[in-house]
Amino acid sequence: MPHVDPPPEKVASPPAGALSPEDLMAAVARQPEALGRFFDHYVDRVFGLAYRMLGDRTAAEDVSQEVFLKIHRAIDRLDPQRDPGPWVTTITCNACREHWRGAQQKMRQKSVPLDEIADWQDAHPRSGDSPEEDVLRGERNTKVQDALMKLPDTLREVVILHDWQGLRHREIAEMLETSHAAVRKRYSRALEALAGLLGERP
Amino acid sequence: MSTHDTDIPREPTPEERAAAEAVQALGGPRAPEEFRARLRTRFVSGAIEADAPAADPVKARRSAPVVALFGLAAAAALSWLVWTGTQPDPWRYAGASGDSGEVWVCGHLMDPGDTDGIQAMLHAGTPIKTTGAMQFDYVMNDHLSVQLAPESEMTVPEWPRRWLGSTASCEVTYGEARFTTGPSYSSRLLVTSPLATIEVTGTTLAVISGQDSSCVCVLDGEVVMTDTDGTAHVVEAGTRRTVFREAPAHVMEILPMERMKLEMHRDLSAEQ
Repeated sequence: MPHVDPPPEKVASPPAGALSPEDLMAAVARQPEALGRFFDHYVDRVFGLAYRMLGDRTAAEDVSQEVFLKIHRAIDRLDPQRDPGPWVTTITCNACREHWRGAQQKMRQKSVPLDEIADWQDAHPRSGDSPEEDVLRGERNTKVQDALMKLPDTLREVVILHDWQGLRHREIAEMLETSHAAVRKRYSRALEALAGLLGERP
Repeated sequence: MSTHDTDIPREPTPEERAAAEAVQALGGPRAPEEFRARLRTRFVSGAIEADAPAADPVKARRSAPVVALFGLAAAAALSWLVWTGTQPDPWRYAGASGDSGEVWVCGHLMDPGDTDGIQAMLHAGTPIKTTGAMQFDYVMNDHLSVQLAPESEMTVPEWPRRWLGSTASCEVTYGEARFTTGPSYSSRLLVTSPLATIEVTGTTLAVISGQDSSCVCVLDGEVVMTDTDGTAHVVEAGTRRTVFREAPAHVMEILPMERMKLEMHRDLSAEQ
């Protein structure tokens, strides 16, 4: 079962601008409005990263719930003077790793109901593109996501964090608590494998 | 989307660049509206935490047979404990080597060639100390192989009759100890050092205790290192993690010399 690509980022752009320290302080104080702004700011980042890591909508939803549960539990320890982005990304990566370890992932990776995917796609058409462009982009993204899912978890993680999330190798190393050199090696191996997979004929 | 840096070990091929660009061009999927709305409500209201402790139906289904088996397992374990309680300590002295230095066991200076004398003193909790260039090896057949490096001190780990699913421990007081688990290894051992606790669950690793730092070097498998503040960190194969008394911890690759020593220890363990 190929992975069907969800709607792209242009539909999903997060609220403009970073959260202010005042917003974060209010979130730390668990003020509902501030928690809502925090959620709106990060929900697509969390869901998107989980989807790219896991290749499955249901799994991405499970992980997103887990991530926001952890955020809610720990938000009073957040430093309002610092960007919470790396913290949120780290929690998401760890939740994805926990998911990989679980047996559920193996079962869910196998299939996503066709009607569910169709409903989801239809509910989020991308404006401005022709139906043909939508189809072509969807096919291309599906092929890339399928190739990503064939990589070992540790390689997929690095290539997604670097090329999709836009993190530098040093940032990834800190996040994964491993060495810079190890991340570079993994990334190099991931690209090599990915190039091979994308070069294969269907 | 990406701040694509080029610090990879070699220059990527055109195909690899294209693969990276293809990943960069992937969209950022938006959370489905219904899911987003539901999760937002629970997050903002705090219901997300209230719902969290709900019983996991899978675990609940598992619990019934687990409870049923518990009695049988407990009875079997008790019988085994009684039986093993009468057995001799399984640690076996495998030798000490070094051009110079001494071996101290339980506070006694020992002749490294006195196999029977050392063997007789090798019990769980016994302190062993090496000085100079002396290195001390001991094994528990098919379970665990331990090597105390020169200028080091540790206590002998407890042995299986006391493990019984709980936790056994030993301490690397200072210096370095190397551990390799064997094919029959199935227990849990905590190696403590002044600044961290390392959980051995099947691997080859070294624990190094310094005055102001503790380090674990993992050759195979992975271990969990818990700092004194209670935070646990997985240390993967090929890496070493060092915690400091007054500085942040760091993770790096194992030094080539340590890798070589651990590989030698692993190979030696396979022969023992």
